[in-house]
Amino acid sequence: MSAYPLWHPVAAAQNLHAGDNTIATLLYDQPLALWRSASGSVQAWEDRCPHRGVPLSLGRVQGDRLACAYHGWQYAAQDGRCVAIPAMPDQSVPGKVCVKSYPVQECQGLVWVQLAQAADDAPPPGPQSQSGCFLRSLIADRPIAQIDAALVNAGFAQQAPYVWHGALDNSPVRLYAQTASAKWCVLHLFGAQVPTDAQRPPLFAAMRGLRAVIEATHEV
Amino acid sequence: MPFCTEDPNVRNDWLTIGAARALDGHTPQHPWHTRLLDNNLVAWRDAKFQPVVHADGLRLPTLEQYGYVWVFTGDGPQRPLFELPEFAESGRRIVDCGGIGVATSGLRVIENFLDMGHFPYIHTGTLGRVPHTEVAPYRTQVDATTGEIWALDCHFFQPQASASAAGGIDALYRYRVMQPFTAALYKSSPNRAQVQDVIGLFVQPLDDEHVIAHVLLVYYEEQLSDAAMIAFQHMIFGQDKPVLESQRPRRLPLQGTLEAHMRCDLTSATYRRWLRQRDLRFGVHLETTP
Repeated sequence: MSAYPLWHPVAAAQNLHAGDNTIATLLYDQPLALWRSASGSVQAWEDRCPHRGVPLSLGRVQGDRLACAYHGWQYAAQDGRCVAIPAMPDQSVPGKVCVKSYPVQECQGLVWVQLAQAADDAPPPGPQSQSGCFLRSLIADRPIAQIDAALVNAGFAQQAPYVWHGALDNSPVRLYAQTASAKWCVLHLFGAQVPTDAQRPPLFAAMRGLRAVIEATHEV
Repeated sequence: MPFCTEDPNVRNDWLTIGAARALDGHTPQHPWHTRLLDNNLVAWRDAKFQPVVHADGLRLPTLEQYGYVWVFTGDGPQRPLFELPEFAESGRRIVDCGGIGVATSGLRVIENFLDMGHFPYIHTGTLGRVPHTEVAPYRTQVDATTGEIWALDCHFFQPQASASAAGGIDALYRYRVMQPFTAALYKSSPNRAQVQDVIGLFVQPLDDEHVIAHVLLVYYEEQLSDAAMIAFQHMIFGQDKPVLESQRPRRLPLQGTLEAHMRCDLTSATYRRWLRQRDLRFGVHLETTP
């Protein structure tokens, strides 16, 4: 699919903590394991250990390595090379054992992934600066084309591929659409400012209302 | 309804449908129901207390052995079921731990049973513990007479090798694969030197990606109740189940480079080669050309 070389938003960057957690997500139905090394760089890997096929998102981040939950095989940040096999502690690891890693960038408070390396090295779309405050991510159970059409009807303006501007409960917001699957998407919601405690409930209610409008649409 | 595979490795061999005592009290009017190879089975005991199993209204050849019922769904020659002489040894406890459903290929379930490398990570504190992660070199062989796989000279440090183990031991293991869907483990008995407890794993394939795993204990054990022995096995199996169900693909890849093998995976590599040589198709991931 021609959409693959583009940058796709896949998670809020603030939800990946250095040397700590993993996030499992999908992009075009491909399982991804996201994590951040202790030295701070974000990683986007195929979510499958090349040893026995267990999702690496079930594993543990250990410094600048991700260890599989099943046999503890450790893979290094950046190139995804296997660097330790605990069952064979005194043996060097053959270089061919490697997790597939995807091009990844952090931008506007989001993690962006390319499923296929683009010919140029253009950055993710939209403004390069942090765009306000991450609020939440919601699943919208409709294909991306229906979501695009519904957002236009709801008065949102598309600023770049997958990047939308609009207002919810009279507050300016930005929405980033992640094509998790051919059938459904994740919408990452950012506010222009940090909402007050009083502003949050009506803002989130408006977001849920927008999702309900999206999910009420039928295939075009 | 037809069975879901024609694979002669599966059709022309004995497959278990569970513990024989499950049939007790059942009649043609009130049969016991189960599934095999995506087909419905009904079973009961006749007037001579023999197991009777029907699929599609036809009676299947049946064995009752090692406390389980085995059926033959094909039309090829019927070989005897594998030998398990320990079952009849005096002094051993026979405990059926019941069947556990697992949503994956039975070949994945058997392969996991043959694997020691996951003990410190999945069975932490019982069958293994970091930093005791090394799988020391061992050997495998295929018995020329029976065609069964043996993995020999296996040993692994275990903090609590069984329900009655008091402390850590370097447990000695032998593994045996009798059929694609049955295997046995012989391990040091914490209660008697010189003998080994036996754990049988008999997998009932419901379809390519769903099974019921039946676990049989043939143990020297005089202290523990059946319930305590079963609870320990259920704890272990409960730790394996989510890992097994997370593996992708669910069907076992026998060819190609989808999954890497190291020396510590010798039993797994031997098992996969053995399945490949039989041209096993059922429960196998058939790679599509890119």
